[in-house]
Amino acid sequence: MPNSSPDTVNGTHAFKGLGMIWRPALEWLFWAALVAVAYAQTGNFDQEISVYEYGADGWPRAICFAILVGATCQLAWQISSLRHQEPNAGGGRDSTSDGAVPGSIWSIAQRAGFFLLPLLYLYLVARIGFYVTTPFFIMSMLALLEVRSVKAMIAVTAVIYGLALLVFTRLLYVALPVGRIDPFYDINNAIVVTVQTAF
Amino acid sequence: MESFINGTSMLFGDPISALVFASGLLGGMLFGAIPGVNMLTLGAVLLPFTITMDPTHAVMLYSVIYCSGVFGGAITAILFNIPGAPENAPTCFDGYPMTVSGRAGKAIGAAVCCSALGGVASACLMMAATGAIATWAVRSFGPQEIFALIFFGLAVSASIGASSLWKGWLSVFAGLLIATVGTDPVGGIPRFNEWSLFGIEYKSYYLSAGIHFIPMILGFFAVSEVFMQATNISKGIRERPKASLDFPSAAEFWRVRFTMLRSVVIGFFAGILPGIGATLAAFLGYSQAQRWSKNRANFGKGEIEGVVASETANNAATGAAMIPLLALGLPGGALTAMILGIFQIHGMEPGPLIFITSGDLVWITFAAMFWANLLIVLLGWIQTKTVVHILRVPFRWLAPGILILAAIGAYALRNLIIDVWIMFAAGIIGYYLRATGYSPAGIVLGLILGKLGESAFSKSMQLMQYDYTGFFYRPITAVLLVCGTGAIIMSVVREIRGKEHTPIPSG
Repeated sequence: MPNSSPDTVNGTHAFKGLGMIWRPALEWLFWAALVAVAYAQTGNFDQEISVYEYGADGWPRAICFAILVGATCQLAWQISSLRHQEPNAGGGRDSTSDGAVPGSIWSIAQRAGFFLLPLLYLYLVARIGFYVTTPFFIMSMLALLEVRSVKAMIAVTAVIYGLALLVFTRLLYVALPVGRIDPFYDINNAIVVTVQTAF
Repeated sequence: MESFINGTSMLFGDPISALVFASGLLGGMLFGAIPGVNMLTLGAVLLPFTITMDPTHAVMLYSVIYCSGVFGGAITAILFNIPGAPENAPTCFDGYPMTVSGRAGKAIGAAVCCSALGGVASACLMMAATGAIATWAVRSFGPQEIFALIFFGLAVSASIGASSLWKGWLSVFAGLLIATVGTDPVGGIPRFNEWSLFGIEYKSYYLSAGIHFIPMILGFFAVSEVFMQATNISKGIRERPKASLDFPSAAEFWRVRFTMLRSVVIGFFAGILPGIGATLAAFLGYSQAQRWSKNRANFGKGEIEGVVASETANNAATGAAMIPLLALGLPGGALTAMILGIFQIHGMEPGPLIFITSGDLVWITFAAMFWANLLIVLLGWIQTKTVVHILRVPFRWLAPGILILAAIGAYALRNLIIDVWIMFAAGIIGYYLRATGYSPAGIVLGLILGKLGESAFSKSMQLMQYDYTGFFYRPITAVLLVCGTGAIIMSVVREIRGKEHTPIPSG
């Protein structure tokens, strides 16, 4: 029971308390930064339109203003909620964060993998091609999702990859990326030709 | 009646129409019933392929997917506590406790029959009322009214799906801001395609065309759902619901007859309002059922009346949601927004004239929705006996397939890899938005209504010579603006009162 010691519990409460104070401020800062950046960029298209008085920048600037008002109202609301919460020492109905569950290094790496793997896949698809990259992506995703049986991994990969080829390449003729690195480009094209002509 | 018979004969007389109808019906039910996937996923994946389809078939396909998908989402809500779509969320409140207590069959049976009843009643009202609304809209609706209607729709729907009113509004505003990327509707001046930030300059021709809502919808709904489920798996959360196959008895339905009737009325009227549709209908239906029920103490613990109320109301909203879409060109939710997208892809503009210029399309769609709702009973019964077992496939096996499907759908839209990047970025953002209480649905709503709203506003201003009081010389505009403002004030007051009176949960 590593988390049950009083120090840890107090530490967790202290961390939560700090989070409760800073989170509304950080959220407001995020919205304010977004508005600042967007508003600054409206200067790139603030040309006059002869038939429209407000120009191309009027509407986006109005939305920026609305976001700022909304974010400020939210900040005031959250600060007011914190005052109500203090006697109960609990979370408001706004606090829906799921980050409270501490995990092992594996589970943290696993969660990071869920987000990074699709991005890596996307980076590789443009270079190595959809047809070569996809089976590896499916197998890696299955491994991350704790599928341990090799047979199951192969079967699931075969079904998903096979259906994607059948539906999108054979039936719908979707031109999926074939990559731009030399050997992979040829391999991808060979797969496409095989699927479209062999069956 | 004659138009309906013509629509039915066109639907079943043409083998391609019948095939498209059957595919939509089965596809909607299947996608609605697979955890992590829903009718929006299917709709978003199929959207690029509608470019090559006949527009009548494409619109009919999506309307059928809408009817069957809204029902299909109840299956996952009841069995897994995962609503297939936001409108199925109230079904979880009592449906899942019924599954836990070994009454999944009764809950699904109630959902099947009540979805069909709500949908058929709504389709009949839609056929009777859309024509009248369209005729009235031709005479009454100009840019000022369209703008006021969008304002009203956003005002009453802003907080849906968000944990607080402010988060709901901020989500909608974020969607409105994203919608400004591209070109302005009056002068065609590119916006946000050139960036200069801290000395770094960036120019994108891609951004000149705007950010398409399909990759955003795929990211916010399908990809973020996979991330949510995957995170749950990493936390060791793996619940397996019990499944039984018995249907509710006629006596049980008779007991809740007034709940069904009330939910049909609520669903239909909520469905007409753009931006609200089935989600609010389901929540309102559920809350009113709880208010008037003799068994209100059992709500949330497995009361069949709760399932009946939400499922009748959300399907009753499907037909009604088509009225503002077809008569005014205003989508009521994400799937109706996709239908609007189909119209735009084919260079058509939904609105009052659609009944004159594309009468066949309108009536084949109406007929398809009527028959789809009726067939839900038969197919839903079969589904109860079969698909329940297919749902035992672990989500871990489905997740990579969902991501591949979504990636192909986003890429196939314009053959641009950047669309897939946007989709995954939206997925990651959507995951954090959901975890922090913001509403991805609100962003999508803002993104879709933003362009329409700006266009209507700029036309209104030009017509009224920049005199804002001109809005109040037009009765419909004035009523909508006043009601919208009233809704905002009421929601703020309710939020403040809620904070004062609701005991804050601890821990």
